[in-house]
Amino acid sequence: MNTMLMLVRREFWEHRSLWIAPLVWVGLIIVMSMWGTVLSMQFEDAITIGHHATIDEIPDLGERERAELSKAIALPADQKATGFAIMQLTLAGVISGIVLVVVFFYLIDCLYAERRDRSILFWKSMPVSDTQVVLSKLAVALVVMPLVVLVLATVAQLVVSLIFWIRFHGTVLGEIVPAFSFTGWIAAMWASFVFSLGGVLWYVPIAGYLMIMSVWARRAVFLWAVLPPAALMLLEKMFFNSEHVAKFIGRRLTGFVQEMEVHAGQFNQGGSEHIPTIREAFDMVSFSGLFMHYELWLGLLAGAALVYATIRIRRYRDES
Amino acid sequence: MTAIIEARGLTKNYGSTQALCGIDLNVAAGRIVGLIGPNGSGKTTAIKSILGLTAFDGELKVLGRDPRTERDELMKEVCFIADVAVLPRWISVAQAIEFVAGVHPRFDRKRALDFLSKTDIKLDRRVRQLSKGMVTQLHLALILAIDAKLLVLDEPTLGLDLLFRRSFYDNLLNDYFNHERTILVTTHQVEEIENILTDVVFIDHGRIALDSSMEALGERFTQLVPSAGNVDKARALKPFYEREVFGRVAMLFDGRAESELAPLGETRHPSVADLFVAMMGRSESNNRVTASTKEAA
Repeated sequence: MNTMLMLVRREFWEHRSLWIAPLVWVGLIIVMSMWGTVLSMQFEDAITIGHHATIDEIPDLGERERAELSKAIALPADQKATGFAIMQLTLAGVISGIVLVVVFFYLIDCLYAERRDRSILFWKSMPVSDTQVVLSKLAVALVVMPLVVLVLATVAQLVVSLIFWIRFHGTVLGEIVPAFSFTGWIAAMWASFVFSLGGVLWYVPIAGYLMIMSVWARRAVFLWAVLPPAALMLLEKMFFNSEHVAKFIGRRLTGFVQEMEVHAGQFNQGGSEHIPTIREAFDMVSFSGLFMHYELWLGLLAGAALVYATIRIRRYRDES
Repeated sequence: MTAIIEARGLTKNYGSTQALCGIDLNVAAGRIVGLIGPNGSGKTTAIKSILGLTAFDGELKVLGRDPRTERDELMKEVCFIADVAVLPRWISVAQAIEFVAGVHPRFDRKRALDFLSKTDIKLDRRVRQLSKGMVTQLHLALILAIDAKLLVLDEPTLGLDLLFRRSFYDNLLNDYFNHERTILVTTHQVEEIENILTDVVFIDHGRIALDSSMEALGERFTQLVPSAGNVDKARALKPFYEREVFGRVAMLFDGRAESELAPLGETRHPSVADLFVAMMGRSESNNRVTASTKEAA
């Protein structure tokens, strides 16, 4: 266990983009939200509801708008929590985006770098098995980094909420949108967690594919990782004018979201929009569908085979 | 004595070329063995087989284990420096120590720090900021702090200047070696290590050309520079190698008593480098060793 922890730490020493890129990204989000808040003070007209304590104080407002705003303020807390949860989920999604890119480049480099800088013989002189090394790298990509996303999303949300609260508390906007909602946060964290878990399990074969390219390619790993599927798609289109490969790859990239069956549409009942309570929002997403899906399990099987092959290849992989 | 390395018919083919043609080798505990051969002789392949870094045919036991199937266990008791400058360039000195301490049950952190404190290496430096000699010192500090039964050094001083090479082997002997440890070392700079070796193994074209302890080497081989009138007499005793040095002939004899040769001229024990050139030079001239032998002569 200690060896495993050490191996994971080692990955963050070597691949510093793993933590630098997400931190910079979150920093940017925070700076941008501060900047946005400052801007909102200069352009009075844009967010008038952020300038006045009560609806009556807002000038130039029609009867309908006043009624809508009163309705929004009067919403019960569990519906406002949904608004907060959506904000939190969006942040987690935005951070996941950058982490996906970082993890992609990490995976294609993780077993290639040690051969490129010829340090592989040093690592191999330690009592660490190829299985431990490969699994530690897989764990960084599929366990540690998703957890990093959840932690960073929470931290970013707290900071953004604080900025929002300082700027808007006591205004109409502050009344409508809660700066922090614990139930909303819990709901968003749970949803992020299950989404991440689904995504991670769905992406295991992709991770396995990238790792096997990383351990196998003698040079230009990026091309080896990207060109074969691209070439297959192109050839299939040219010779058969069909798109099975493209569909297969697309399904592997986005299938887990499709299988989670987000029914956002069902709340547009009778033309008037209904904001779901946090409990209703929970029911919008069906997670069980994904985890029961045969494609998920087939993918896991394929991923396990690829990871096993990666371990076998690293066993005798040194070219110095 | 327990056998540290036991090889029987060790064979390795790369496609149609045979890198090792059925080598038999025994290394006992507490020995310092020099594995010496020209480039492409198979010595690196032999070392890689011993370290479980390559697949091979034949029988091989290292510390009683098969390197093909029990490599993970083996690495707890075997250390190696495969080449200079294989430490990752991004790692800092402190991280390198932290890492080895984290994964190696037989690593003594204090020992490594003590060793480093005698050098100019700072803990916050990254490997890429160190000179080549310092990288080797760091590597040595890490490896020497591991209580291993077998240490394998494959060209550990390649590309280093004489001062670093000298202190490397001094450290190895003084700080590390004791009679429970075994060292297997390959190098091109034969003359620099021959006085620390207890055994020498020549390897050529995938075969063992010579396998002897240093004491036996002295008894078995004699170099004779016959005086002017005795050249033909000496030749009649069948030297296996002859060369001209400053207009005089130097002959190497295998298995002739020194008392038999002494009346014919000057005798002495040939150096390992002399023997190497004599035994390998016939088939292949290895520039580096030949050059260094000339210097020695």
